[in-house]
Amino acid sequence: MTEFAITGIGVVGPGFGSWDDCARVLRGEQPYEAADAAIVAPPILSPRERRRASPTVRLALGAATQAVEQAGRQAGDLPAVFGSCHGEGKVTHSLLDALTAPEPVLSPTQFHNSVHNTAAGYWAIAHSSQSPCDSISGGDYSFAGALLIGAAQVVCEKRAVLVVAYDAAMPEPMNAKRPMTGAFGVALVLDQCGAKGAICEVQCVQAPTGAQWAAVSHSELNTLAAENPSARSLALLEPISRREPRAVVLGCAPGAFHEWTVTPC
Amino acid sequence: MDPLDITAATLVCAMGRGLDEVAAALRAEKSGLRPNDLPWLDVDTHIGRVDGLEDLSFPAALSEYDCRNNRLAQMGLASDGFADHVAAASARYGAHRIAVVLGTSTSGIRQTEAAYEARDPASGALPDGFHLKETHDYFSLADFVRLALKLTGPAAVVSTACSSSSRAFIDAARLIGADLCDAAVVGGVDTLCRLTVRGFKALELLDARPCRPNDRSRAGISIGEAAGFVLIERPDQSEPSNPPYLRLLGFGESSDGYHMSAPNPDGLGAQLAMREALRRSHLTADQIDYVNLHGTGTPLNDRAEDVAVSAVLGRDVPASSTKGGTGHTLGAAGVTGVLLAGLGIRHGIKPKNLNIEAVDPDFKSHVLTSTQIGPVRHVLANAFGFGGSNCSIVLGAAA
Repeated sequence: MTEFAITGIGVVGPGFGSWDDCARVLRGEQPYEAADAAIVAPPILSPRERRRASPTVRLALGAATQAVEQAGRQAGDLPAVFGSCHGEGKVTHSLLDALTAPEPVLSPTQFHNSVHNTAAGYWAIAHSSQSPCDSISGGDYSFAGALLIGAAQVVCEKRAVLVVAYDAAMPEPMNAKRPMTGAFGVALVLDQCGAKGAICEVQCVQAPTGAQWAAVSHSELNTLAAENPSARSLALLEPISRREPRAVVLGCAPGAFHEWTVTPC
Repeated sequence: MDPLDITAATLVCAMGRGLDEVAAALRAEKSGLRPNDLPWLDVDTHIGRVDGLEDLSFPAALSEYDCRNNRLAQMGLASDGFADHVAAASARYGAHRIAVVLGTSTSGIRQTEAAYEARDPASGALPDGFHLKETHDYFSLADFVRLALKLTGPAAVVSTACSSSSRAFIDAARLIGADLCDAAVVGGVDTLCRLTVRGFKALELLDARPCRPNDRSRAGISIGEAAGFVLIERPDQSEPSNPPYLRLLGFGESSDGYHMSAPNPDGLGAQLAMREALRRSHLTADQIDYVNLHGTGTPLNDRAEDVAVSAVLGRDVPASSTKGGTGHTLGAAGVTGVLLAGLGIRHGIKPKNLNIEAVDPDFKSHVLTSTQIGPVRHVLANAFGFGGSNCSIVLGAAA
């Protein structure tokens, strides 16, 4: 049995800047007002890195910072698993565009900031962390993929792990070919069951079937979940926000499903 | 950690198509690097190109996935009977119990480069028939391999730049450890594209000559392409007709937390990764018979790695970089180095550092300038990537 506790949650998305904001909307206590995600550069970055950090890096690090604070952990002590469908889509577009010039000259900074693990690298640099930072892509299933890899690490290594999923629509012309909406970042600090300060415990087992994405009760948030891979986390965040025991089936790849059973602490 | 069996393996790179060809090239000390001859790659450099990708017959049912990277993946799956070994494991465990965890740094981006060249002049739209999700997505690689092998277990692409396919071993080992699967197809694929060649040129890390890792006159990398796959299972689960090929004994991983593209000069993160890999393998430094170095050929990488290797393993452990033969295969560099080190165990060979004229006189570690023949029991392979991502993998003989 793969089981773990969640001790910290961070969310940055369209219409909310924190897990508390998001939880109030998921509980129906607050109307949802869609707005561009408030993506601010986390103060953990040096001024130079803040200038260089792409919106996706800011999104990931913003959510991660919230979750680690809530869990009362030192960021540098936590191994991290970052998950994102495209990673640095905006930087990648800029390089692809530059390559079409007759004598293309790429920006060296843009090039090393185009790798999928740019957010993971900035996170480690910001905290002078030597803890391992993984970077996963599961396409549309990147959130569940990163969660699964993170959960396996908690179980095998008996240690807390930070899981961060973040996705933003790529610039045109790419977004027309693979449409995504908005920018959404979510971070969870996973720990062993019985960990102090746990918000909930989660059990994970393989499931035979499931939906392409798990439905969210709130209709606008359900649309968001359909259009942004990281927002598919909202299906799992909903029972957590309501402190309801519930099983949610998430796909981690086409045709591969897991049932995640949330038990509030 | 409890060791895992590697019950099938394959490698396609500039040194050969399949493990036998690669082993023969290794023994003959034959580099696969050549002057760039790709018509669409407009840079003066040497490349580790895999021949035959352009003419490969690609599965018609998966034509939307057709791109250079998935072609190389397909070539890998068809080599060394790899797909057949996976099919046998799938029959035994069930397709849903076999995970696919693969590394890549740029997936099928060559397809997107061509699509950008063909944008509609008026609207800027990408051409019809360009399948971004099936080729450009990082996940395209795992998606394609799952479909080609008819697997339905958990899947992920690992993309931590040049350590991607070493980290894939670690993530897959944990999926098995947590009983989220019974076996895993692990490895990585990266292919030549303009973005990486031009990008490394912009960073002034690309050598125009064939790369010379660990040489005193080294001047950067040569980029190559490779597909490497292994099948890992819990010990003693494979069929008697297919005894284990090698054993995965341990791994280590760390971050530099230092700089996006330059290594910590003391190789502190690399030291952590190697120490952890030794600890998990229950081995001491003097039990490592050979180290396959990350050894890219850039002045900073090789120097930092030498500091780290000599600090952790001392001055006597034979070590070499094989990137002078394969080129730096980026997201596939991890599995390439692991399998080249594994060939050392299988064939009793400690390969020389290819393309070396004179070892950097400042180096303290034992860089092999000639190939050594003799028993090899335990090997360690390093892979380091942008973002300060370090992995070390330890393999042992199967029995």
